[in-house]
Amino acid sequence: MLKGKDIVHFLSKHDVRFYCGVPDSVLKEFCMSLSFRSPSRHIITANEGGAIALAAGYYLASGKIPLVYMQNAGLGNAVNPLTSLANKEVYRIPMILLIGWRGEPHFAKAPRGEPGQKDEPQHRKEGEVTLPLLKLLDMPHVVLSDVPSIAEKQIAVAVKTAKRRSTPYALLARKGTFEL
Amino acid sequence: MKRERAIELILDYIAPHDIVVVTTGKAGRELFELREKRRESHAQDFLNVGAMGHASMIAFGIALAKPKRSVWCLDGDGALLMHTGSLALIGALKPDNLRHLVLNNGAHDSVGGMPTAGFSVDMPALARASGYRAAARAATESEMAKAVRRLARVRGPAFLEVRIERGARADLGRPSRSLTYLKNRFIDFVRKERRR
Repeated sequence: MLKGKDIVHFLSKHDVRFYCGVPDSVLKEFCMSLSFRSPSRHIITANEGGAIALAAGYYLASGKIPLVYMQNAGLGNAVNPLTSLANKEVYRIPMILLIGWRGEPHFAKAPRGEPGQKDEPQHRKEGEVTLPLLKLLDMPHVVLSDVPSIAEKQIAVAVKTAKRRSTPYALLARKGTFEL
Repeated sequence: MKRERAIELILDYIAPHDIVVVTTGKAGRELFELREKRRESHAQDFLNVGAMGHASMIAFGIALAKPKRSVWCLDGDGALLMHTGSLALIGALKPDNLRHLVLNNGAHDSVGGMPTAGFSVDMPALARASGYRAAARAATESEMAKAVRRLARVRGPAFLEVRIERGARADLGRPSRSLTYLKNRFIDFVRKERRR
């Protein structure tokens, strides 16, 4: 499995050093690895839309790609700034999104090889619409591997693509991707 | 005093190296036209044409990356109330180069003038309670001139509510430059180190 700090390390190789977002249980280990960063490098925002806007401001002023993290439930809060601020028809802001995927349908591979099970009711619909929503938003995305060497390559592609297209790129993290 | 007049007065106190982020709707269009009228560059201004309520977070992100530059957020009452959680975050983290100005006409003026709760909220008290270092209200042109001059000088995050009337010019245009052009000019201006 991936350690939270692995992701931070892989991202730093591509000069992604600013993080903001809203914590999520799927991303807990990742979020904990950010907890000692100063506010100039990590900010927990009031909601996910605010995180997109904060990241956009940071990019405009620094030229560096930021990372925004959230639970998929927060994707709804992020849709407006993603479509009307960061979108390629508007200001084309590159950034990496790390989204914890609750309620993933057909969650076949549960941690430790247990049979897959349904997530709680409030997560099921959001889990189901997460991939279609990313497609509708025309956002390139990938399901993050829990194998560090693969995740490292995925992150390299994510940053390269975000830069080349000058738009957001999403990494989807399934339950059980991270460990401490 | 209407919004366009208020923005014009504010522009007199914004230094040439300062950065401006303006809220969604007619405020940005007025700022654009005022720059044209004053024969000033648009490079200082970021028009948040969409993402209503998020201008203050864009400004905060810029303020973080450019701690030595003053960043002004020209916000609206509807926008402020839409994402008031951002006020708490700015108050908690205290970016000392952020100046947050709310043009309060108590209405969603850009889309027809329907009411907001803007006039029933004590905005300076809200800002102070959130942790802003300074907060004030102005309602007349002379009060405003004094308050904006002070806002430009105090340590941030600083907040000013300006009570204005509803209404805009009937012939208010749309930015005549593409967003890509405006963005690139803005980026050049912001990323370039300040020269004295």
